[in-house]
Amino acid sequence: MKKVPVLKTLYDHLSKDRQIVGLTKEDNRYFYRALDSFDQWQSNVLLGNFSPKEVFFPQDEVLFYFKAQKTILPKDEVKPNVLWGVRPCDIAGIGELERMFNQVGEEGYKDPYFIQRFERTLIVGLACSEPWPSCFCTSVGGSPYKSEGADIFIYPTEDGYLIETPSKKGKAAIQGLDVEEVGDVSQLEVDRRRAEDKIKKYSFDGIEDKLKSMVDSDFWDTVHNPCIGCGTCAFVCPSCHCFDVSDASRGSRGLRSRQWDSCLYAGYTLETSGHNPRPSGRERWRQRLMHKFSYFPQVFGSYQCLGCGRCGRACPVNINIAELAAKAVEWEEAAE
Amino acid sequence: MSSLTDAIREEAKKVLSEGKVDFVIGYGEGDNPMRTQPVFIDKVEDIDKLVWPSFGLINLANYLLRHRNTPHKIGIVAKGCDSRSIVALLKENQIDRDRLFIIGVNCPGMLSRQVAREKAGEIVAASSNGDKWSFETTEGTKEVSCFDLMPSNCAACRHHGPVIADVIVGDPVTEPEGDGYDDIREFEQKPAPERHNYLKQEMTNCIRCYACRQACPTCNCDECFVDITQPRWVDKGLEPTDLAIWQLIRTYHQAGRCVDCGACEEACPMGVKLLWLTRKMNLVVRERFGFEAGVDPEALPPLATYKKEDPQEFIL
Repeated sequence: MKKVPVLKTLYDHLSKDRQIVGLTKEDNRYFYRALDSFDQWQSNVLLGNFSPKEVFFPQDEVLFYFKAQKTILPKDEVKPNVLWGVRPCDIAGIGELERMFNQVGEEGYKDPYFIQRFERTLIVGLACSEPWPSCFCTSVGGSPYKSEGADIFIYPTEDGYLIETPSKKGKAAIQGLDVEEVGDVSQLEVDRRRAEDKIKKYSFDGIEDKLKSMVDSDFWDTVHNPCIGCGTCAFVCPSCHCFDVSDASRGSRGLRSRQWDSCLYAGYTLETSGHNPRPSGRERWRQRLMHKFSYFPQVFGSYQCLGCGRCGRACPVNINIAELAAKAVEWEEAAE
Repeated sequence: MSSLTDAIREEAKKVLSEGKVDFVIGYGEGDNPMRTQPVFIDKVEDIDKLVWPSFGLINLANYLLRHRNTPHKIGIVAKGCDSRSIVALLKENQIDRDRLFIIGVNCPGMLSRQVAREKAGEIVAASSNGDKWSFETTEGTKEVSCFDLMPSNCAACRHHGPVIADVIVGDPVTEPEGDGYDDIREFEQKPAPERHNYLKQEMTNCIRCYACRQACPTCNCDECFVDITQPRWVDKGLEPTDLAIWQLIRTYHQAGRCVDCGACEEACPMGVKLLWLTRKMNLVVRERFGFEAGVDPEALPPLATYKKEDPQEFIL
C-alpha cells in the first residue's frame, strides 16, 4: 500500500485535470458539490444530508426536449469527475444504483444518463474511523473499512493516510503521485475492528425468506402507524432509485424529465381508474421493506439498504428502517 | 421521567382500561433524546411507551385524518396547538367529536431540531442536563440552553393550554403579553428587495418532498393540487417558479386554518423557513377578520362565512 502524510497531496494530484466533487456546507446542510479548493471539503462529516446519488442520478433531470415532431437530447455537460471522500456505505449505494441502471446481459436495462456519469467518475473512498450512532453498515454486509467499489480508497492512520487502489482506473489515476511504499499494514486490521465494534448490530438473519412468507402478516397492520407518508427517506437514501416521468410543454415545444419518486407517496401506485393497489401506509411500508430486504436480494443478491442510517436521521417521526427489519425477523421467528 | 409523562400515562391508562377508547395516540421515545416517535397504544401494558418529549413538534391531530371513516374511538394527547387543530378538523367535519377522548396538555413549549442544527451544527449525539442540551457535532461538543432551542412558533405561542379537552394535565402556563407577531412585523419593516431575496432563497431550497404537507393536519385535501395531472397546475421538478408557487399556494390554502404548530417547518429535510409565510398570513387573518384558527370551537372560519362588514377594499 502507498502512503501520503497529508491528503491535500492526493487532492492536488487528482484535481490537476479533473473536477472534484465532495461534501460542502450550504446553509447548515451538507451536499456533494463541485469543490473549488481542498479547504472547502467537510472532512469531519461522514454523511451528507443527501447521498452522492444525486451526482449520478439528479433529483430532476431532463431526458429530452421536443419541438413539433423533433426530439433533441440534452447537451452532454459531464466533465471527468472525482467523487471525493465517499464513505463505504455510500460507495455500496452507488454499486446498487449501478446494478439497477447498468444491468448485465443484453436484455438488462441500460440507463444512458446514469452510465455516462458513472463511467467518467473516479470514486475516492474514505474509511470511517469514527462511525456515527445512527450507522448500521455491519448488519447489511458492509464495513467502515470496506474499499470495494472504490477506485482509490483512503485509510486514515496516526501519521498520515494509506492509499489503496482497488481498480485499474484508480491505479492509473495516482501514477506520478509522490508516495511512500508501506509494507506492513497490519494496524489497519486493528483499526477496522475498533471501528466496527462501535457500530450497532442488528440481526437480519434469513430476512429475505422470512419476508416472503409475510405478505399477509398482521405485522404490517401497525408497523406503519407513525409514518406520515412524506418522501424524505427515499430522497436521502443512497440506493432508492424510483422516479416518475413528466412532460412540460408550451404549445408544440417542451421537455420530458424525470424526478425522484417515493413508494410512501399515496400517488406512487395510483392508477388512472382511481384504484390504488397500495391504499394505505400498511401496503406502502410492506413494499418498502420487502423491496429493500427481499425482492432486491432475490434479483441482485444483496440488500438494497447499506446501513447509512440517513433515513432514520431525516425522518420527521424518526422511523428507523433497521429497527423495522429486525422487528420483522423477530415477528416471523415468533410465528414459526 | 417528567411529571407530565406520568400524568399522561395515568389518564391514558384510565381511558383504555375503562374501554372509552380503542387506542391512544401519543408521543413515544425516539432513538436518541432529541427524537420522538408517535405511538399508538391499545393495551394497558404498553402504557409506559407514552412519554412527554422535549422535541415534540409533531402535530398528533394529523393522525386523526386516517380515521375519518374508521369506527374507532380514539384517545389523543393534545398540546395547545394540537387541540386547535382538532377544533379546526371538527369545524371542517373531518372527524366526530364523540369519537375522541382528548387528553389535553398544558404545554410549556417544545424544542426544535431545526433550531438545534442552526445553533450547533450537524448533530451526531445529544444529551440534556436540566436547562442545557449538550450536542456532539461534527465540529465538536456544543452546549445550548433550552431557551435558545425554542422555535419561532413556540416563542410566539399564546395558547399553551388545550382549547378543547376531556381531561387536562400539567400546570397552566402563564401566557406572555402581546400577540406574539413582533418578529413578523419586524420582518415587514425590511426593504422589499431584501424580503424578496430572502424568501426567494428559502423557496429555492425546497426539494418538493412534501414533508411539510404530510406533517400538517390542515393539509388534508383528498388530492393535492400539485399531484393533479389533468389539468396540470404546476410542473413537476425543481424550477424556482414552481417551487415558489407550491409554497405560496400551500400557504394560501391555510388561510384561517393554520394553527401555527410548526410541524411543517420541523419536518422539512432542507430546513426551509416555512413559518415566515404561514405566520404572516395568520397575522393578516387576525388583523382583518379578528380570527385565530382553532381557538374558539363555536366560531366559523373566515373562509366558511361572510359578514357584511368584512374588509373588501381589495375587490375591484
